[in-house]
Amino acid sequence: MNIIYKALRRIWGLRRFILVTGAVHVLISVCFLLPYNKSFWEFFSHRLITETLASQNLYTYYAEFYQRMDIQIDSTINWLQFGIFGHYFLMAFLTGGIISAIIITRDIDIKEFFRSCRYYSSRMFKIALLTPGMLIFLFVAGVLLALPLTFFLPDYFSEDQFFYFLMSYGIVVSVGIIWGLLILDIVKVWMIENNERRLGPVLLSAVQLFIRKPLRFTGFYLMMLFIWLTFTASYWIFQDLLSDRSVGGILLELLIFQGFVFLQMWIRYARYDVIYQILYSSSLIDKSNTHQLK
Amino acid sequence: MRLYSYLSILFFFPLIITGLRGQDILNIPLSTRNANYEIEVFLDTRQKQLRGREIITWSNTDNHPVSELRFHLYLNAFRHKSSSFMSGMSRWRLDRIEEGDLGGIDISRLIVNGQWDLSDHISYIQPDDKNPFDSTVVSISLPEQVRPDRTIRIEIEFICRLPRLIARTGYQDNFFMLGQWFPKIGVFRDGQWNCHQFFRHSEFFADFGTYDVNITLPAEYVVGSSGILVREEQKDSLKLLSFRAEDVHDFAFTAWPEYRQIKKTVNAVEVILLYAPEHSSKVSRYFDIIEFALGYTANWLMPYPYPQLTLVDVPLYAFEAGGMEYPALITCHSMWGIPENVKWFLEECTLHEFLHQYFYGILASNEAEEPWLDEGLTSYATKKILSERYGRHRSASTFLNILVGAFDGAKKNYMGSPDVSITMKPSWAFKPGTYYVSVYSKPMLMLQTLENILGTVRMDSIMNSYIRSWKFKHPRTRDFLEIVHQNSFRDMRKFFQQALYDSVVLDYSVASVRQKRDDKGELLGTDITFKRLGDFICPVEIAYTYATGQTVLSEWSGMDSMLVLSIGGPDPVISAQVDPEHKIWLDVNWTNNSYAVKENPLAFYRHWLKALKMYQQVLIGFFGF
Repeated sequence: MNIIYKALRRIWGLRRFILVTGAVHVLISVCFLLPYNKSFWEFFSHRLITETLASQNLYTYYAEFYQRMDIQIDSTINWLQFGIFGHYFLMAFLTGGIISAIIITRDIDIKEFFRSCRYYSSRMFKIALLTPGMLIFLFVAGVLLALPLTFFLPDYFSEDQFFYFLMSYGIVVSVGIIWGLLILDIVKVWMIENNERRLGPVLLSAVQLFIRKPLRFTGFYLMMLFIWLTFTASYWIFQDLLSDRSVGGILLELLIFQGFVFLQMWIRYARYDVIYQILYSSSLIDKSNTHQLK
Repeated sequence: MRLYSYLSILFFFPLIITGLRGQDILNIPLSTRNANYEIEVFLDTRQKQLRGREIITWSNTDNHPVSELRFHLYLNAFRHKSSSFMSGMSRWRLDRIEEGDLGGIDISRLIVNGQWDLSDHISYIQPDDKNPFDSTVVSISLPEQVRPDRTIRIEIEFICRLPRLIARTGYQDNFFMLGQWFPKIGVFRDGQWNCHQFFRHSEFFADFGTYDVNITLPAEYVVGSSGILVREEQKDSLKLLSFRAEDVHDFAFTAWPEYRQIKKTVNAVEVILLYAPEHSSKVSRYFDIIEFALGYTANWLMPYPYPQLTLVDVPLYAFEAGGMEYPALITCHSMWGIPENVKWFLEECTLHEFLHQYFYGILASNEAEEPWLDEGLTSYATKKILSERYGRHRSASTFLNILVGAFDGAKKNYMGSPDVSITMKPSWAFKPGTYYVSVYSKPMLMLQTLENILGTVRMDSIMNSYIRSWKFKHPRTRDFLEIVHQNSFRDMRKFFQQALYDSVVLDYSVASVRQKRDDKGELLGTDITFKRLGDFICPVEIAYTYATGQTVLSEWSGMDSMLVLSIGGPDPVISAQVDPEHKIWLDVNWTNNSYAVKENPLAFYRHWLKALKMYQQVLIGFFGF
């Protein structure tokens, strides 16, 4: 637990950069929601059904609204989906700077942060492109690897057996995906730590590193995942308590949510520090290799 | 194994022959009873076969003589992957059916009136699609005509090879669901046979009669059926069960050693619930909905006419057997972990199949030719009763504080593709993916719209008249429309013409509310523009509200595609609505049904913030790198 505590404390020290990342995230979210403003305005500002929706969340009206609000850029993609791509690659760009700031022990300023982002951007983009393919591969591999579990399922199973089977199967597949994400995170840290450009050898090294300490890596990674999920779920469960219909209430809710987003990012970025500490504490990284920017 | 099977038949057949017919259950026949069956059958649970013999006593109730007989052999739909039924299945599903999973039925002997052995005169015919691989209908030429009001006796010996569960029929390990398993005579009316092939979406059509069915099977099996158990005998490892059903047009049964059974008398009806042991926690939910339904329909339609109703809750591995209606027997779905607030699964399925007892069972419309008449009416009745029982806005489910009503799913389904097909088509004429919208969703929205237009009292009187006029008969669409015409005191022909025989879309909207002012800024009046965006014309209520709070309600015929109302006077109109109470469920877009002059920026900000929060969370959670 000390590792997690240290990681959270250390990432808190980088709060300026997380704020920058959070600002970019908010900007993208707002920008790609803006094209829908007209639909929102026409429906929620000029339609009387809004009065009903103020007291009850009626599915049918939301379903109709969302069916008709959609604005396609072309036949394959709409603005919200386009925003997802933009967000994903911008976050990849900024993550390089965050990891670099974790690894560099001295204080860095915002200029240096952006220099790091730019310097590591091509590597991060490579990983960003690799990630979906790798996750699909791991999902399929997880499904296939879990197939032997069907051996334990009788030909004509009872419902209890089926659900135990399904849960076991789900766990096996999920573990496969989590390992995939973990290895990709090790790759990110490793590439920056060693200033390595070639993805293939680093991926191989990351797998080797993971194999040497699988339980430690998995345990801490799952714990970070658990902390983030619990924190996120807590907000969404209790968010109704924050709802207020006044202008002030809406502004307050917006502010609180952005604070919540910042805290989510803080927890999520702490995982890189956890990985970095495990690599160090296990002497898995050659400490003589000093981190320098060209 | 075969010796064991035949010995068992030899043991029981004397019993069957001497005492096949059971005692009458109902004092007065409720139907014409012109197709009566006496069936004796052995369920070979190891070979997955049914071997049996039936005697059909059939009367010609038409005004024309009959020179040939036609029978349904529904089980042959599963004999060949190119049968008309299986051709309508998805490639994915077909690929998962192995040759050994197929089934079928063969007639080995057919004798008419005890004198004409017509076993060699049986020919397969394909009256609907000429598909040579389809053998679901047979024709037998008679040596002599059967004149009107004459009765013949047909003896048939048959063997069924049961398919692995498909379309609610067959076996899965030691679970058996037997529907459409015996040779069934078609319906002769208007001088011709109405005996359609079995297609992917076509269901059934048959005459009413009595069924005396003797089933022999291993003693450990628990059996539920369409009939009432009148005798049970056991000999060694086998048992003989004798069932009798009256005034029904089909007979189905299920057998599984693991069934648990609970009986309860509700409104003088013995409700038997056969359930999978792992679903014991769902028993109270089954009885809750069925008790409510029996009480509700007794007032709304007519009391359930049979003394017994069997509910079959199928195990998960036989899930495909669930969700089907047979006379006095319905199969339902349940599953571990279905929360109490989710009603669209267990409760809706149970209620839907129960209501088929009326719209299919008692009102025996032709499900193959006019599928909307049973599925549409049943779906409407299901949603109506669910709404009554659990509340209009929460009768499907409540999840994360979002309320989903029973009709909402149908509306969502319909508005996605409102013009996909017309409803009045035979079941085999629907293109893939269009059947559910056209036969279930659209008719139920149409009927709910009709109820809202006419008022609940009149709609209830329509439904009541329909069932009282046509119970235990074969109503058609025109008969239902005639009842609507008689009871509604309004000409609804154009409404039905558009809703059933056309695929036009209904969409009314308020385009604008403009306040006219003079140069000094004094209000001169207000122009309200209503628009009909679709081609479906239907009278609709329109309303506008003054700043004083006074609302004026009137009606627009919708004949023109646009209506501009000019309201004079100094009182400002602040909002206008078309269909203000959202009575027209066929309207594909309710979001444009109102317009308020005064902006409500707070509502905009609130919902925009909601959307932003969700979008941000998705971006961080799944696309945060």
